[in-house]
Amino acid sequence: MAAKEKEIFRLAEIISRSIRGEISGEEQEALERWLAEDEHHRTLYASFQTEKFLETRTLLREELDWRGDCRRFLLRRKANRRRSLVIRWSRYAAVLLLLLSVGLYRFVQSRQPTTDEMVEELASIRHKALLTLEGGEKIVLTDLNTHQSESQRGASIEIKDDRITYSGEDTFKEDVPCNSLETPRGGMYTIVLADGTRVWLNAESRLRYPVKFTGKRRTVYLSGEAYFDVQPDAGHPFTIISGSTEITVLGTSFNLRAYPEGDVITTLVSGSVQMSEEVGGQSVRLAPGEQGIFSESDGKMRKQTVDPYLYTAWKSGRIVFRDMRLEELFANLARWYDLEVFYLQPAVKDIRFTGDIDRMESFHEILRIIEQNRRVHFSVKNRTVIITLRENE
Amino acid sequence: MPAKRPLSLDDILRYDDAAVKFLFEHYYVQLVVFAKNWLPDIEDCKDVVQEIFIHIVEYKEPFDSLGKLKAYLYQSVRNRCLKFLRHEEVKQRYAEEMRAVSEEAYYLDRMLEEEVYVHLMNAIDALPPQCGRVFRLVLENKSNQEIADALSISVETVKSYKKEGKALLYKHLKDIIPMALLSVWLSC
Repeated sequence: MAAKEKEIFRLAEIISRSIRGEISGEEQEALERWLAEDEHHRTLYASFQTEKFLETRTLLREELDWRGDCRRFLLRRKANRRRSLVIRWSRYAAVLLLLLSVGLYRFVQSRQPTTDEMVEELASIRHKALLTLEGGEKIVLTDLNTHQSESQRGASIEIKDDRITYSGEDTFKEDVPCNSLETPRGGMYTIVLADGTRVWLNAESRLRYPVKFTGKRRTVYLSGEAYFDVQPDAGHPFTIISGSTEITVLGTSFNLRAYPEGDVITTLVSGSVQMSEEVGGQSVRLAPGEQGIFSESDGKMRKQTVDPYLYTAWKSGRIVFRDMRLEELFANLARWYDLEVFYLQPAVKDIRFTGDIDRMESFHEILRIIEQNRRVHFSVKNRTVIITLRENE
Repeated sequence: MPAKRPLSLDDILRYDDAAVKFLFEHYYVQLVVFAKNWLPDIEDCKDVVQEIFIHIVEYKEPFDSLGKLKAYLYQSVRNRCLKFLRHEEVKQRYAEEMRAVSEEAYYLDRMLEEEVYVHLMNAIDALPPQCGRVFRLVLENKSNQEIADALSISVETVKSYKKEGKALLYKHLKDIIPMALLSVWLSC
């Protein structure tokens, strides 16, 4: 290593220790020597102790998503490797073709991916969605989308990596085009709406929104699950409509889960939201850490206090479950990894699990972790997971 | 959940997926921010860092210590940024200005900043959990009220955590730095 870098690493250690008051006498001497060396060393040292030094860097870091970038990096790497493998194979294939032109086709066809590869594949293809533009034109979005721009009557749409962003001038007054973003099972996507509101769309979900917000209210429609980070704008309340439920906010962060077969659940992280339902005319106001639940089956609305992390961790790429029933856990995993789940004994559904797992882990790894409690056993075949009770205990 | 086994240098030099993840987790953000000292567009910065990762992974660059790996990464970021600037003629002037204030000193100072930052943030992570959380939100420019809302605690509690955090982080600060700076800190 160049000596200069090594010296800087050591110096950084000494400086941070001195700021934290843990410096030794010898280090103090080295530090003082360095400070005496140059006027701008002293300026630099003083700057380390301002809040601004930590602040500007922290803010910049907030924008970076190393997990997402890492995942795409690995996917591209895998894709490249496969491509070069195909090229190599095709060379042999040309020779082979001369020799046995018929047999080859069948040979290539029979090369099915193994279960492991397939499960691995499932785990890695996560950011995918279908964008439908106003005219009905559909764009498939994957993790590997390269930079692409679309425009919709004056609104511009930027597609990059796992995110699309809307922006534009006020070119249209009324009759604003609506787009919709849809994720399949196993998909996930992030979108930045025209007002700057960020929405993380979980698997098997659909969001419909105008390409530009006009008028008094900002209204979008959701089916499925999404985390909203709503851009504050007191003059224009933000409303999400999901079936007969309506959630109105000014500027907050919260998770909304509204899958067709389940309850509508709003989990508030910050700010305040009003959750109402039009059939019975019920409504609740939520404070941070509270959750509003509208049960479609009995038509009742209630609220409870929860740890929001449990309900929002998915958006930061984590699978979190606390004392959760296996059936509920696998309802989520099935959606996330696009799997079918079968329970050989009904009793397994009620076993409870706790965990906090990185979604970047392969699906195999996740099953292995869950299996560690020795009460259930999984067997995986293609996209099907069969869950059985362990008898030995 | 089992505790993650830390990767050894040998594990990293295998440059498999786990090693790539290690590079991203430990160096990516830091290097992208470092590159930002030369390139104004954060997307260019990400590209630069990822190209370097591709290079070391593809060529399985050997290193005999993590320190050397890190030094190599810093050097490469700087070199690629300068090359990038040279490519873009418009920004040529910018690059030359940089050289005027001694390119080498600029490089070392920015590296020092990044390293000190990482050390201090590690110290924040070592604070008691709630206190550390408050502190991070402070650094994200959130107001006391916003922090209180986000963590479902009172504004008074936020203030006391802030104070406690600063005291723990900058333990004997007053002995070393001018009082003026300290009072700026504690007044907010």
